[in-house]
Amino acid sequence: MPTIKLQSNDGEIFDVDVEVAKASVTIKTMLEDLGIEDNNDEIVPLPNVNSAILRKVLLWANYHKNEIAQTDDENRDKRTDDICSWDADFLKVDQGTLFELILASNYLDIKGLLSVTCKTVANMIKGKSPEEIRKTFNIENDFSPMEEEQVRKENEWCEEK
Amino acid sequence: MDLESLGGLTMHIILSKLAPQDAAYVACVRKSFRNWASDDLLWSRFCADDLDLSSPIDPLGIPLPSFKASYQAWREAFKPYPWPLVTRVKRCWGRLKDWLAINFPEVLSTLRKGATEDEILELEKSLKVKLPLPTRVLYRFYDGQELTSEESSGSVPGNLLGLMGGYSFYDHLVNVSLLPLHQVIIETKEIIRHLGFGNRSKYVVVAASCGYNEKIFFLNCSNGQLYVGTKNLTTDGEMLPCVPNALISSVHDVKGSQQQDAMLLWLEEHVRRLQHGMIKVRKEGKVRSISLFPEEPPLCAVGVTNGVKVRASSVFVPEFSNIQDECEKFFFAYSIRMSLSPEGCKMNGMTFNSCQLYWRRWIIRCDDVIVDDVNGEAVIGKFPLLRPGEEEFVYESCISQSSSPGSIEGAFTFVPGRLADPKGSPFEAVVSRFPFLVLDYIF
Repeated sequence: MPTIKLQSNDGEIFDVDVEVAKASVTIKTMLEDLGIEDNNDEIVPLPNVNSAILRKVLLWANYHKNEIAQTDDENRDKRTDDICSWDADFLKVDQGTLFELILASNYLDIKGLLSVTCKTVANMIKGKSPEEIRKTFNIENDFSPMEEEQVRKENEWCEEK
Repeated sequence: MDLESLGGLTMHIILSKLAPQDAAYVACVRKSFRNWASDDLLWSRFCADDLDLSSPIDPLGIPLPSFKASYQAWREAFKPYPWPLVTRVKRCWGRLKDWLAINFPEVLSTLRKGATEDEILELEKSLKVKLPLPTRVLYRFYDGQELTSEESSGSVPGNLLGLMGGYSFYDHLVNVSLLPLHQVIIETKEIIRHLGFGNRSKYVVVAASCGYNEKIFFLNCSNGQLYVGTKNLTTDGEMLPCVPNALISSVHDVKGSQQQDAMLLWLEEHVRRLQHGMIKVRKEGKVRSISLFPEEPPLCAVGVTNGVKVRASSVFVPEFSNIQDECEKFFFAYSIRMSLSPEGCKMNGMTFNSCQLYWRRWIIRCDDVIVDDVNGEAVIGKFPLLRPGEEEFVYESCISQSSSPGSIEGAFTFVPGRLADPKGSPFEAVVSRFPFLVLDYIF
């Protein structure tokens, strides 16, 4: 099977099936633009991804390699309860890793991975009050009391009756 | 690495997977989140999904600066009500309005602007009832229909504008409109007194036909069922439920999961029938109205013989039914429509450019037993002459039955050419069997 070499920003080189690598639209475009042929020894550098994250991304892409690339289906995109069990297990990671996976899939343009990681974050937000959201993600409240009152008022409609 | 460092673009993807409430709570978390969660693209989607809005307006149709403001205005206006119920009612009215805009714009312009909470409270106080939640929301969107007294009585030439439609046979003309709240109060007081229901009655009159004395729909405010008066309404208050009881739930329960009263179910079913072309606008002379005679199989039977097409269907007529009577329990009106295909009347390799009815044979069944076999000249005293491609000849008649289901099938004998000048030998055009059914929804 033809392979290519990808290099993470910390210098590690990964030998990857071309088809798996092409799950990333960014890599696919790069290969085409640079005219890199299969089994070429040239190394494709990925300056925005470290080795730990790239390893996970490739694991995900390898598992999903036989699936047809996701289309932008608004309705399916809105659902967050359709995460397959493999993905759910795969995404049992600390928040830092989850966010890095989001950034990496965004940079590498892998729609499926971006979608499932964002869904995972959305599920962590759903049904929570502002204070619970802050707690979940360790976020500091930077509103002044006056601003907080105003923003609370603006969103009063969604409070439980 | 934290959530905030993902940045606006990625947060937009996450926010677009949330419900509006969640997005609103995200806005309360921190300044940057407030900016991200105020993105109007996001709120335009929420407005489209929940409210079918394509521009930012408030419930009165007044333009607002953003979709976020629009969404907030709608939520605040309907705060006393469960939001899923509000969006459901909005969808129901939306579909009805779309249908009317295309098929019957004159009716669309009779819809009155939504009632205020105060107007609803005034009705509740005046009639000593508590309206079911779905009915309240229905009225918040549109306060029934505004018809001049001439329009509602059908005494002036023009269209019959009752939203719920009707039928006519012989001299009986029915066309039901939705009453505005102020008229609900007047009619309820008058009719309740007339019927001797006493002033603790939970019935309010919500829809009625021309003149209000023939066909009246009552909403029972305590159980949420809708009833229609029968022939015995004035003598002993006999009524029939119009919607399957099993479907009615949590009519007064704000915390319930699926509030549906008969009023909402009834309107939704009516809209479904209109949208699917099961019932249509009928033009009779110059008068147009929504006709309740079914237009689609299986309730409308179609038979074609030698180019003669006969369509037949029936509708249950509650106001003439007498549930206590053994033989004439259920009353039905039926509509027969006949036309000749543009190719003309074809038989035995010959083509005739007209044919005329002269004889009718009816086999009437009740519970699959033949109860009558009618042979006779003409239909309602007429001998329709059919020409190729001309509009349907339509006539209505009526029948009472001791039980439901029943049916009629039969044949019309036609003569090619004209009766006065026959061009060939008579033939029988089939009238396919069409049913008499008391369906689970009564209109």
